[in-house]
Amino acid sequence: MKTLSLAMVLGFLPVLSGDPTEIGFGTLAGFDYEEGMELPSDVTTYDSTTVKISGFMRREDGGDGPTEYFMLINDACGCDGTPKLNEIVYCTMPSGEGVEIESDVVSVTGTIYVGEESEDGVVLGIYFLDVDSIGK
Amino acid sequence: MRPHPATALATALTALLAVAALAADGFAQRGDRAARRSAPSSTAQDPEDWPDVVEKANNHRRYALRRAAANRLAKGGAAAVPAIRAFVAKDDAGANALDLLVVEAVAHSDSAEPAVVELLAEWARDRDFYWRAQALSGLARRKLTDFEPLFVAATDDPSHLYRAAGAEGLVGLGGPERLDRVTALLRDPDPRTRVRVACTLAEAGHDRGFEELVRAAQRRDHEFMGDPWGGRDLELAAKALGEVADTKFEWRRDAAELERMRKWAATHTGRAMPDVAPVAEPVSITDPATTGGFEIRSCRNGDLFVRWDATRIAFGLSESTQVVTIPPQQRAVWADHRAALQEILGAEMPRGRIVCDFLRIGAAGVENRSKLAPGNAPAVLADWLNATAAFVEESEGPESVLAAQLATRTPQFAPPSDAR
Repeated sequence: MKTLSLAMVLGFLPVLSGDPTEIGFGTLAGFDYEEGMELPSDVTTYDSTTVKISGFMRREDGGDGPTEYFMLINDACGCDGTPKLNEIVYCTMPSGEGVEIESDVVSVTGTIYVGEESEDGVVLGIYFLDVDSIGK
Repeated sequence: MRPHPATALATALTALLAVAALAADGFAQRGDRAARRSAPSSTAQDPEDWPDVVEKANNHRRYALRRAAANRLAKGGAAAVPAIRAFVAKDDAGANALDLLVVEAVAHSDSAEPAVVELLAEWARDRDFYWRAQALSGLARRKLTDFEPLFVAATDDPSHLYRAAGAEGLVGLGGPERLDRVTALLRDPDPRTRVRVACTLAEAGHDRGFEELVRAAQRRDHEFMGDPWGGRDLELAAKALGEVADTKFEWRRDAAELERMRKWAATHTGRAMPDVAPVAEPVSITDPATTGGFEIRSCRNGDLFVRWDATRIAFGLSESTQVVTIPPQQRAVWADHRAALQEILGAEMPRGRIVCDFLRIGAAGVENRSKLAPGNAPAVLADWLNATAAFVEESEGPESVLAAQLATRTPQFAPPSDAR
């Protein structure tokens, strides 16, 4: 069913395709997030769509060198306070690809998934993005 | 040839159905990358296994799990303190091995147990502790008069966050003299301190900082080397006013919403409020051929923002920017100095592990800015920074405060003396 659906979508891409939707942290973090809440439609509307988000990269694990995973946040410093979960986009590179953490603002394009994901009973986050490309 | 309208409609409907089916699949699976993200990890099952919780709060690979562990430590109150101290004692970095999440969680907790207060006080007084401002904020929340001297001293600290935390402490203790001292910080040269102090006052029921909160809207587009600090400050301001007004002011820079905020503040106070129209940076340093800049962020020593072009070096943010003009007879040498930086930044340099303090530097003609931890600037860059201080001193004279700032703030990024 998935394969057939994919073929149908690909066949009609000229009708549907467009550039990635640019969204900012003003939208993503524009509400007071509480665990278990119903997320506002302002953000759920982007679930499973291709988006482009600008922000600063940060390693989640505090290490250095290339990484397959990173957080995208709206703060170059991070000294003011730790970001809330709706202020973080967890980004995952394609399998086997690593990326160096950039010092500057980057624009990350990819498919975003909006919704709580948990591990060991803890909500890890609400925004997860499969990276297609990273630009300046 | 354009398709028949009925055909186009059928095509679109079919595609929509296909997308819906894929979305349903996609939501369930989120692609294979979700599986890679969610590799199994363990958390402490025994809530009293504090050493294990401390370890996870500081070292777990997942941010949210570190946060959850830090919150458990905070809830543990005094019972968790020995484990936190033991963790600090066994690390060469001492307290600086602690994740900010841990310090924040303890600071924001409700515990006023002596062991917790003592821990926060030690952290707040430690001039070399990265997160001393957050620790001081924790003391402020507890409204303990014993710490008034610390709060007062903090209002004169080089760190903008530490000054704001000192203000928080004094507002918490209340009283007209303390409030007057805090009000003076509404004229702080750093706009980020002013906004945070105004937020603190608003949250405590004082409207004397409302003008500064509304004024944050004017700086909403202000950024430094791409970091949107102006937008973040507007978020704080809009939330603070919204709490008082018991409403939500959309801080997404919608002009009508910001005008609504301004009008509410004016009605509430009976005072005229600043315009919310954005204002440009008062000093424009944007010539792509000659501009460059760096920022030093230091939780310990305060931040430094420096930009330059062919004829000027500008220090600071927004309206507090101070400009040093390069004398005409020095401009050729200054041009050579800027060109030298391009060459320095063009080379690979190790970043080091950035915890809090960092130097971020860029120059015209260099594609990527460099971000370095203390001790990681190559000797040639450290020398370049020293020479820049010399330019400033030459322009302003030996008593130059700005030159002194450069001379005292940049050496921490130089390589260790035995590495030269």
